[in-house]
Amino acid sequence: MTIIDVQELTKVYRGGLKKRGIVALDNISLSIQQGEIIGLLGPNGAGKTTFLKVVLGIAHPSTGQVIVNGYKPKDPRSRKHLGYLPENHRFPEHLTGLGLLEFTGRMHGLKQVEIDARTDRLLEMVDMAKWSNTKIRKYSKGMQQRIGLAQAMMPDPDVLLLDEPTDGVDPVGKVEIRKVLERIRSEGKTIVLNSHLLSEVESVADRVAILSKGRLVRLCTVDELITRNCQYEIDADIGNRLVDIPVEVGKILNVSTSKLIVELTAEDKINYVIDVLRMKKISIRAIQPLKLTLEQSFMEAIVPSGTVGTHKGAEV
Amino acid sequence: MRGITRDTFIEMIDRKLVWIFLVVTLITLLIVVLTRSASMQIEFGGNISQSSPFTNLADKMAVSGLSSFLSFLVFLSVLATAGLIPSMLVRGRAEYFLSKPISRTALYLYKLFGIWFVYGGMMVCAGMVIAASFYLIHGIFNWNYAYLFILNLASFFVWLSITTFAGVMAGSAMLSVVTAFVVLVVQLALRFHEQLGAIIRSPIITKTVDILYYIFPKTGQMADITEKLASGQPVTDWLPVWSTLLFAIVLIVITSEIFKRKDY
Repeated sequence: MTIIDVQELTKVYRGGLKKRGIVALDNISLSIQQGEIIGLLGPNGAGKTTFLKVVLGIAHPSTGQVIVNGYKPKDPRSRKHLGYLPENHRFPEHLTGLGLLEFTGRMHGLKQVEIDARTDRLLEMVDMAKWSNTKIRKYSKGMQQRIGLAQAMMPDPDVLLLDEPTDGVDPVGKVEIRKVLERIRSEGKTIVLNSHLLSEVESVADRVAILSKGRLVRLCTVDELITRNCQYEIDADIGNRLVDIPVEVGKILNVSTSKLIVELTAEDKINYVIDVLRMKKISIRAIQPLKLTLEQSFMEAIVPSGTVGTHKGAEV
Repeated sequence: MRGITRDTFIEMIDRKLVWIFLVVTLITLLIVVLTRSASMQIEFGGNISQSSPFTNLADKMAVSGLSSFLSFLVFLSVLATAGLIPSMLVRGRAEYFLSKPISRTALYLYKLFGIWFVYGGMMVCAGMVIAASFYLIHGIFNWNYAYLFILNLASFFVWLSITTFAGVMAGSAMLSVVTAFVVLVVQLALRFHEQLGAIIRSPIITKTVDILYYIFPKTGQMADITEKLASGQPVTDWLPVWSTLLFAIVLIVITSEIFKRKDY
C-alpha cells in the first residue's frame, strides 16, 4: 500500500525582486510503500530536507502532486499518523523532556491517558527517563536528538520522517538510535531516513533515493545500488596464463595472477567465461557479482561518470 | 486548544515575566496605600457624603489610576509577547509546530488567543488587585470599572493582531515592536486628521489622511471612551471602538492567509 505518493514534484523557492528562483526539487516522482525504510541520500543542498518539508506541508509544492496517507499535505489529516524529527531542531526550550512529549501528544489530539501511557514507554526507549524533568535547553546534542526521536514517536505514527537523526550523537548513541530504528521497523512502520551517513542508511534502508541538485538521480534497493550489472569478480589461479574473451561476450576490466574482473554483455555470458577458464585448466575458487561500497555507488550516482574511484569487491 | 494556551503559560513562567507584572502591581498597590494618608487629611476637613465633590474626585482618580495601570500592563504585555510568534517560527522550531496535525490557521489562532488569555488573564488579575485595594483603602468601587477591563483587553487584542502580523511577515520580535510603535505614532498623528487637513490644504492628501484615520486603529480614543464609560459618562461616538476592532479582525484574517501560504 502506497503511503506517500509524490508525482512530478517541483519546488522553486522564489528569490527577491531581481533574483532568480532556486530550484530545490525538480520533477521528482517517488512512491513510498507501507512498512519500508527508504533512505534519502544526497550532498548538501540536494533537496532532501525540502522533500520532507513538502511531504509535511511545511513548504508548498510549486507544481506536481503529493499525497500522504490519502490526503494532500495542506490537509492536517495527512499528518495525523506522521512523526517527524527535523534537522537542526530547536524544540521549545522552556519545556522539559517530559513536557515536550506531553505537548506533542496534545498537539496530536491525544487524550491524557494515552499521553501518560506513551511518555513513560518512549522515555525508557530512548533512555531519557532520568532526564525527563530537566529543561531541554540543558540537554546535550545527543540528548536532544533522543528526545526528538521520542517526540516523533509520540503519536504512534505509521510514517516516521527522520532528518539526520544521528547528527551530533556519539558512536554509542548512534548504535542505540540504530537499534531504535530497527525496533520501529520490526513494528511494520514506514521510515523515511534522510542522512548523510551512508553506513547508517545502508544498515537499515530497504531502498535508497539519491537526490542531486533537486533531481532524483537513482531509486533502487541498496543491493541494486552497490551491485554492478554484469560485472563479476572471479577468484582463480590464473598465474601467467593469458585469458581473453570475445567482444560479444564482454571485456576484461582487470586481471592479476589470482583475480579476474569482467564486464559481460549479458548475465548468462558468465558461463562462457567459466568455460574459457576451465579450458585453460584454471581452477576457479569463487565467482561473485562485483559490488561497490555505498560511498562509491553514491559518488557514481551524483558525480559524472569517469571520476569515481577504484572498484572494491565485496566479500561473499 | 491542543495545549498551546498551557504552553504559553509555561513559557511566561519560564521567562519570569510574571515577576515583572508582580513588581508593577506591588508598586501601584504601594502608591494606592500611600494615598490613604492624603485622603485622610482631606476627610479631617469635614463629613463626606457619598455624593460629595470629594467622592466624585476620588472616583475619577480611581478610574484614571486604574485605567493608566491597565494601559501600562497592555504596553508591558505587548512588549513581552511581541517575540512569541517569531520565536515559534524560528528555523528548527517552525518545523516542529508545522508538522503537527493542526491547520496553520488554527495554529495561528490558538497561539494568538493563547497569548491573549494568558497575558490578558494576568492583566485582569493584577487589575482586580488594584481595584480591590481602592475599595478596601478608599471605599471606592463602581461596577462600571468592568469597562476598563473589557476595553483594555480589547486594546491588547488589537495590539496582538498588529504584532503577530509583523511576527508572521518578518519573523522578528524587534520588527514586531517597531511595527507596533509605528502604528502608535501614526494613529496619534491621525487623531488630528481634521487639523492636518486644514494645514495641508491639498484635497488628495486630506482625503488620504481621512481614509487612513478610518482604517488605522484608534486605541488612544478607545482609552478615552473607556474612561468615560467607567465614570458613567455618555459616549456619543462609538466609531473608534468598532473600527479598531474591525481593523484587528481584518488584520488577523490577512495574517492567517499569509501564514498559510508561507514556506518554512
